[in-house]
Amino acid sequence: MEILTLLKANIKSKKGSFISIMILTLLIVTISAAVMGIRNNMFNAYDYAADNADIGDLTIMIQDKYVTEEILDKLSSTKNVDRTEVFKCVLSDDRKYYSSGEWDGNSYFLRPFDDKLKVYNDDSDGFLDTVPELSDGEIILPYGLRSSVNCRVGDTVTLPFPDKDRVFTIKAFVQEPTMGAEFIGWKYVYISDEDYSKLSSELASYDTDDKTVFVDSIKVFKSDSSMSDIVLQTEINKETNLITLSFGSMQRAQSRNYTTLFTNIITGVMLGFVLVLFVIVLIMIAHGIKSEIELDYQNLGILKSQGVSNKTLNVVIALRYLSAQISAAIIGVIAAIPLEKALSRVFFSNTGILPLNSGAAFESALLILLMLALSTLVIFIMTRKLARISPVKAIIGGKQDVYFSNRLTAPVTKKALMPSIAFRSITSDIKKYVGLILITAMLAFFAVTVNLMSESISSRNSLEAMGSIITDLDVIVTNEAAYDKVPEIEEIINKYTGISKRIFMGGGYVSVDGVQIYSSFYQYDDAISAMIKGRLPKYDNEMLITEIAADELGLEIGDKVKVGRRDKETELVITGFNQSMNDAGISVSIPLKSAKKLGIEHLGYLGFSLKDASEGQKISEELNDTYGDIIEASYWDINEELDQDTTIVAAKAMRLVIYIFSGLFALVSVMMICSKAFSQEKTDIGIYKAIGFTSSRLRRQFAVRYFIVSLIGGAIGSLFGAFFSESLLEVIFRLFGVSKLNTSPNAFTYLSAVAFVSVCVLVFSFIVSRRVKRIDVRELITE
Amino acid sequence: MKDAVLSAKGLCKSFAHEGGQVHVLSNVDIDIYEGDFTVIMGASGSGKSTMLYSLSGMDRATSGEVIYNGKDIVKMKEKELSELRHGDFGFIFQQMHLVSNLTLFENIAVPGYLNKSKSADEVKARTDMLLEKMNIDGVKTHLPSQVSGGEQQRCAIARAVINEPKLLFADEPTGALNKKNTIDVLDLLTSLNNEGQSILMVTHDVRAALRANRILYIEDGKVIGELTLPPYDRADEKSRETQINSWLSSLEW
Repeated sequence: MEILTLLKANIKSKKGSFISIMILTLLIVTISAAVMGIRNNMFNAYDYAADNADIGDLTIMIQDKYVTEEILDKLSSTKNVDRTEVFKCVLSDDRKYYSSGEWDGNSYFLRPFDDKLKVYNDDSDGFLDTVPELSDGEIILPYGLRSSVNCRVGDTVTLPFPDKDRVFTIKAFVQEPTMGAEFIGWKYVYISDEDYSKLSSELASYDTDDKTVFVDSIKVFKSDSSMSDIVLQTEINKETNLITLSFGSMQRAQSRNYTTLFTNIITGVMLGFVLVLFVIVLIMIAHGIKSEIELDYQNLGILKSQGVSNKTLNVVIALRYLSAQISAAIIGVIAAIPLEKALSRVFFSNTGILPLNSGAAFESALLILLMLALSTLVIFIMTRKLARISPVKAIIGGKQDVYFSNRLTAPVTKKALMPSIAFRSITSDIKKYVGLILITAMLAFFAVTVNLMSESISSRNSLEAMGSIITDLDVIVTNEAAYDKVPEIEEIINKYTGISKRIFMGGGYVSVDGVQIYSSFYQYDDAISAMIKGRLPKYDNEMLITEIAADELGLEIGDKVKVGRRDKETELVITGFNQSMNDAGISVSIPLKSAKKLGIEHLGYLGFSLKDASEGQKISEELNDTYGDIIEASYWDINEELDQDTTIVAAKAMRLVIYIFSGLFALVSVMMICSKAFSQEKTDIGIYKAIGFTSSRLRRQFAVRYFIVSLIGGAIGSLFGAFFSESLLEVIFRLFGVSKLNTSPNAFTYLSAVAFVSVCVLVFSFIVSRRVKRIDVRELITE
Repeated sequence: MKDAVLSAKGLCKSFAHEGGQVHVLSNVDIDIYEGDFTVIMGASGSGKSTMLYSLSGMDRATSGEVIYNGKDIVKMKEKELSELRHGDFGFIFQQMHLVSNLTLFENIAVPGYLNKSKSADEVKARTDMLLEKMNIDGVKTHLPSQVSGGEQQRCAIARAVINEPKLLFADEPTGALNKKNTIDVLDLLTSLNNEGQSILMVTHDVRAALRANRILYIEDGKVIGELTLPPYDRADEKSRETQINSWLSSLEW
């Protein structure tokens, strides 16, 4: 009973700290429950969609001429293969133009509609009960294309084929789990049975060794669910050589990884941020209890003198904090529901998989319990000091004398009166500010990390350092005659400006020691923008591999590997590790002279970096006018592209969200810490007023003091950021395929984080210091 | 006839208490004269400290006026009051109230730094002079918690006079001190008064009141008696004490 009475009184007298802890916990629980819900919704939805669509554990895309009865029998009898399914597709490999004005360079595999798939309704918030009948000239696209090329139902898309282009009207969008997500470079698209038959017969004569038209899609289902997809792939290749002969293959695990990659990274970073915020809450609780014991020393001593035990006081303080957290957690879980739904929609445009509403009740409950357990631990550690309160000392006047450390003392001067008094307040009781220093350090560290992350993906140099291919002028070869015209093409370019880089490339899947892996084929070394280790290939038996792929395959520089492509095979030596984001960093790069042994004669993409990029538009126009029948030239304004890139926009949005939440946390932390400080410093404020300080001068001094503290914290956080942010980001970027981050931080990267945190603290502490006005000199009167 | 350095007319101060009003000062009219050592005496709860705080502008009167230099302190804004506090008025508290994280030197110098008419060097020089005068120059780099109560109070006096105030207010300055420190502090105040410093002090200690040349007696928020004495002389202490005691007895002290 006495616990309840004391608890009620305790909550009433400490309303401020109760509300602050509630707000902070509310933010943490809301974000984490929403983020975990989004992840669950996405992963469950993917698994559900993949199961329903029966996508297979491995999908092999292979030129149909290789798929014989014999090889299919071999495949079926391969150990661990349960069953297989084969679909016929027609390949459309060059650029597709949409009536929205966008174009798409992905490979499209046209096939009749798969009845196992679900078609989205007009609002894309559910599925149609009956799949609309496809008429001639109509096409159903995977949802991932809807946002990447900004197309809608009713728009048209022009697909190129070896004989001519064909125009299709978009009938609907479908949920396609194998390769329907925005980040996957292949797409199944669906046309009517009649169109498919007609197209097949019209293109029959165009399918040659050099130009593939007909592709079989083989779905393989494993018999042992515990077996990894990559082992299955290796075994199949060993038995059938199908993987080496194929265009490429996609394991279900890969497909799930690529589909959820973006959401995974963004939500992972958000969960990391929430963890930092929770540590801040623990610091706030520790700081709050420490200050309370100092401020309430007398009352607590009196209660002890009246027989209230340490344990009771301990429980009362614990219950107050825990009740604030529990009530905030309940509200947070409820608030997370609409937030989770809204954010799931944002990621839906990228995954193309309609999120489920499964939420994360179990995970949220577990997280809340963990939070409460950790909070309880901190509370019980901090309240151990209650045992040291002496009732006698409390009754005769309270605390012991306070002695101040003078080691950091700087003189109080007339010239810098306010800052010097502010600095003295800090150095004389540094322990009081440790909490805020830690909080601002953590916020600044996170701000530096997101600054680095945002800068890493939004500048040309840093993107190139991660292995991105960036050009100003793209030339796509649409007719082999163009290969002989390269000198003339370069002559036209040189008329306007110099060529700074030639990035002539092609790509496709090869098998490396039996494991299928994406390979870039390149003519000039300019195409390798990011070497991490070793050297560039010099001879026609050399190649590069990414560090991530080397780790996966257990390869080192100097190793010899068997590289196969279709019916060709050769032995190549690894001369170095390069960085490439193709296939999430699992790829190799083979120079053209080595690739010739694999049957690669020409590269279909000619990219140019120009000395004066502003001439790009004129150059592309002249190239198209002169050689429009054999090439397609286009100019890229890289800055404009970067501004519109979904990933960059999302990363910038995430940086904004993190900054906003950091600001909110700074506000609540400053409010809580400052109100304790006011209670502790009432007398000092009265004295300063009595000797002639005005309220506004005291407010400025107060704000300057917390500004100095936040500068110290911010500087520590930034310093940690300088040492550890890059390593932390490398863990995140590895998911994208970047094993070595080459950030080029500048003063702004660090200073903006320190400035943000410090200015927030300065402004908030100045606002909170309005209470100085209410503190009267009467505080000093002894009647 | 001496000039009044501070004049109060119809001064009232009341506080809200349990839904009603408690009138601590009721229509007080009073003049404080230049060069005087004026003492306000009265029983506990008579309103003497409230009067001191209202007259000094540390607390705002409910009604009435306190005229200093032709201006009504009651109507002054915070900025004007602040200027007064680090300019023409000095204040000594019963509990010293030194800033705990400033050294004794800094506690004295800081109000001097607020005064725009003095340079930093002038303030430092005067602070050193006052430290010596108060006999605490040996502990000037100490924090208040590291010196005795007497040293703290001498530091508070030095702080109060750093800006050479026209009027020095003191609220029971010896209330928290032992006998020896009490005498030291009173000697300092007497010496300041002998140098021309006007002082208005609240006390309930007759030994402290001995130093005054004018004593006002307050009861229930009203001045009900006044005693004028010649300037303090240690040789006359005994007869002064007898005179004051008999005057206080007549007021049923």
